[in-house]
Parts: sequence; structure tokens; C-alpha cells
Amino acid sequence: MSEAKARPRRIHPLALSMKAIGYLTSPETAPGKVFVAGERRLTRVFEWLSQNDTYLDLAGKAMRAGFHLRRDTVSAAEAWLHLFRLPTAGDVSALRGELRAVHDEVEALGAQLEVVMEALEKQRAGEQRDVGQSLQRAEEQRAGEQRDARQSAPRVEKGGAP
Amino acid sequence: MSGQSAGAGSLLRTLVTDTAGISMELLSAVRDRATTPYRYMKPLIKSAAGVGEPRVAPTPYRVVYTRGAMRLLHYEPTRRRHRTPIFFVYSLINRHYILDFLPGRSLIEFMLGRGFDVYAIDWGSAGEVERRLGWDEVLNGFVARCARWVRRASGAPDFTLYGYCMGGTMALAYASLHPEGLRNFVAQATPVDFHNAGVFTSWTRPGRFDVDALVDACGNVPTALMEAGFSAMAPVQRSTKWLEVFRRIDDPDFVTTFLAMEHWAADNVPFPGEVYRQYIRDCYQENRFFQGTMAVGAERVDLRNIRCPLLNIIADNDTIAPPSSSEPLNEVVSSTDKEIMRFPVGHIGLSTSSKGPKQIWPKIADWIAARSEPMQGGA
Repeated sequence: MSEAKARPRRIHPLALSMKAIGYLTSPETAPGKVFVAGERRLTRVFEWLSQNDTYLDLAGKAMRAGFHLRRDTVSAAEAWLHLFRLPTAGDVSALRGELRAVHDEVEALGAQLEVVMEALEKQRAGEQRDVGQSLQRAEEQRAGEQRDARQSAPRVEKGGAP
Repeated sequence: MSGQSAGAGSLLRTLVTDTAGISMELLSAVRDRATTPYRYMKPLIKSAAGVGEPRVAPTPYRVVYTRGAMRLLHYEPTRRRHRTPIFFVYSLINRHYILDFLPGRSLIEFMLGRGFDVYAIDWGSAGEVERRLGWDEVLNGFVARCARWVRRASGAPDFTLYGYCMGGTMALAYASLHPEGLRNFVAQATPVDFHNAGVFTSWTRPGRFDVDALVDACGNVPTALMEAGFSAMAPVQRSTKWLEVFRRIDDPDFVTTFLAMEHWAADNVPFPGEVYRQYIRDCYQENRFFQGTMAVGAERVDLRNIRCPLLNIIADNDTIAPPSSSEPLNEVVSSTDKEIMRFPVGHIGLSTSSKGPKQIWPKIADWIAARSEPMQGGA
């Protein structure tokens, strides 16, 4: 038996702590049962909230207010920066986007050119194969014709007339 | 005695190197102001379980076409048995690789194994430029151009359009505007009747959710806001699910799959602002998409224009696109060959559960294969 097989696998201390947490929260253990009961109760609360019209309306209003505040803050900050002819984060981001678009386009052209070249090469290889095959066919035909001509020609016996 | 001290030394070395690695990853998460628990928990779990980074998106591909941040990816089968390719359109919210999740648990890998030529849109991460994109440009520009490239690159006159989640809604809108060139349509976990779309219908009710204020303030919808929305669906479970990993820390397969799933869930991308504005207003708030009155450019999205064979895949436990929202699709399209397949899984389970390669995907692949043009002699 090799030494590796004989020695038991060492468990990572992190794995041990995780297994301990897993054991304590497992539905099969006593502390886990308490944990699962708490989890179920919390899930029910969140489920109720996610379907509660009053809560959803309030959350929607809060989100709308937050978005408006963000839009107004950003546009005010941009207006001030533009007043001093300074670029804003939006300007930089837009410029970065434009640059990325140009880069993407160049990459796109490269990729498409590669595909087109591959298709052309395939087509050229096919054409060459076709030409080769037709040449071979013509050669075979000519050889066949010559053979036929030889076979159908009157045979001349050596040694003079009978 | 010397063995014990060597063991203690190796343990100390492991602890020091692990602590350094964990600290680096935690610092990086703090620096990025990460809001998802994944970034903070991952280094601890990886270290405790002794697993590496989950190998998501394992299937090799090549980029056929790109436009802006979007890329059209081509996955080539070893032996192509069907001339008709499959073209996947995924949602703008998350990354496409949920369809190519892990080795052995990848829908794309499975379809390749069945001999399909596969194409998928990766929307990339929306930036300033994508902020002004509307449905018109996304459907008539991006998806339409990709569809042309799919036909061109595959050499097939038509294709199977496969939409997933919000990508399914977009693909349906595209199919109703451009029904030509479509051989089959597969809608997986796709919301259609948005007034029966569970909590999202209630949360986005007009007067309650001011989408204009959000888009005007933020431009693209920030990932933190999208994550907060999804977390609010099950806030307690979002935290307590980590305890299950703690319990099964000795099971590397479980830990890897869990980390891969969390990696994908935390890898959200900003939602392009104008697309989001119209999505919320025309779909969730006014249900125009289902009623056939949603305008895209100068045209109207009318699902009755869809006449090709249609497969509607529904997850019984789906809370994002509940069955009540997806089922009505088969009633509004004009297709005569249409079918609903239901599976006892959740929204993401259709693409990632262990049932996928055994029970779900074979049925889907068989349905598509029966309606695809076979490859003459194989390729």
C-alpha cells in the first residue's frame, strides 16, 4: 500500500469550519431545526412584502424619488463643470464608448475578412479540385478512346498475307 | 515526531499561501465594489474544497460576425448530420454561456454531438453606445444581420431559431417581422403573456415602477439594480443556499457546479437603456407584445405571422417566465405544427440541471432533427 493511500486526507481548517457551520444549520440537527424554522418565518415575511401593494407602491415611490434625485444631481454637476469648460464623467464615459465602438468595428472588420478569406480559400480549393477532376476525367476519356481505337482497328498479321 | 513536524509545516505553508490567495481575491472584489456574495465567498469555497475556477463555456467556437459589443459565435460539429443550423438568441440580461455551461452539461455541446451546426449571439457588455439602441436596431439590425451570416456561413437556405428567456421574446419579435428563412422556432422559458408573468408583472405595474426615471437617471440599467431585482425574488434563499455548499464541501463535483452557476449569475451585464424602456413599457406594463400592437420601427410585432413549426419548452417551476406566461404562445401563432414540452425543473435548470443531457435535451434535439434538412452524405 502506498504512503499516500495509507495516510488519511488532511482536511483544510477552512473546510472544517464550513462543515461545522453547515452541520449547525442542517435541517437534520437540533440547532439546524431552529435555524430552518427561523428561515421559513423570514421567507414568509419577505414573500408577504413582495406581494404587498402598499409596500410595493412605497418602494416604487422611493425608487422614483431616488432616480429623480440622481438625474437632477448629475445634470446640475454636469452643467457646472460645462460652465468651466471641464469634461464630466459622462463625457469621458461617452468618449470611452466611442473609442470602444471604433475598436469593435476594426475587430469586426478583421473577423469578417478572415471569414470571407476562409470562404474564398474553400471555394478556390473546390474549384482547383473540380479542374483537377475534369482534367483527370478528360485524360481517362482520351486514354479510353485510344484504347477503343486500337481495339477496333483491323489487326495486321505479321508474316505477310495468308 | 519528524513526520508530525513536517505535516505541521506543510499545513502552515498551505495556510499561508491560501490566505494570501484569498486576501488578493477579496481585495479585488472590494476594489471592484462587487455587490454579489459570489465574489467574496468564491475564494473561501475554492480554498476549502481544493477546486479550481469552474471551466464555464468549454466548447470551442470561432467568431463569424461582430457588431459593436455583439459577436456571432459559430460552434462546428465534428460530423455535421443536419444541413439546417441552429441559431441561439439569448437574453440581454446575462451572458450567453449558460447554454454552454460546463463540460458534459452544455446544451450547445449536446447539439454539436447530435450533428447540428450551431450559432449563438453573445451580446457582450452594453456601454455608452448601446445605451441608445432600440428594438428596431436590435431586431432589424443585429439579429437580422446575424441571421444572414448564419445562412451564409452554414450554406443552408433556412435555420432553426432558438430563443431563450428574454432572448426568446426578442427572437419571437424577429420571427414575426422576418418569417422568411425560418424553418423551425424553439422558445425556451420565454415570457409571452406579460400580464401573467408572476411577481415581475406586479413589480413593474404602471404608476409603481417608473421606467423612464430609471433610464433617464442611469442610461443603461446597472447590473447591481438587476441583481437586486432578482435577489428580491428570494432574498433569504440567496444567502442560505451557501450553507448547502458548506455541508457538501467534500463533494468537488457539487462545489464546481455550484460555483459555475454562481459565476454565471454574478456575471450580469448592463441592460441597454432604450431597449429596457420599451421592454418594460410594451411588454410588462401594456402587454402590447402579446396583443400584437408592439411597434418596432415602422412595423408591428404580430405573432400570427409565425407559421413555421414551433416548439415551446416550459419549466414547471419557473418563476422568471412562469408557465402561465409562456403557454399562451401556442395559441397566438399561426403554425399548424406546434408542441409544448414541460419539464419539472426551474428557469435555469432547463439548461444546467443534471436532467438536461438525459431527459430534456434529447427530446428537444429529436424534435428539431425531425424537422431539419439532413446533410447529404455527412460533412
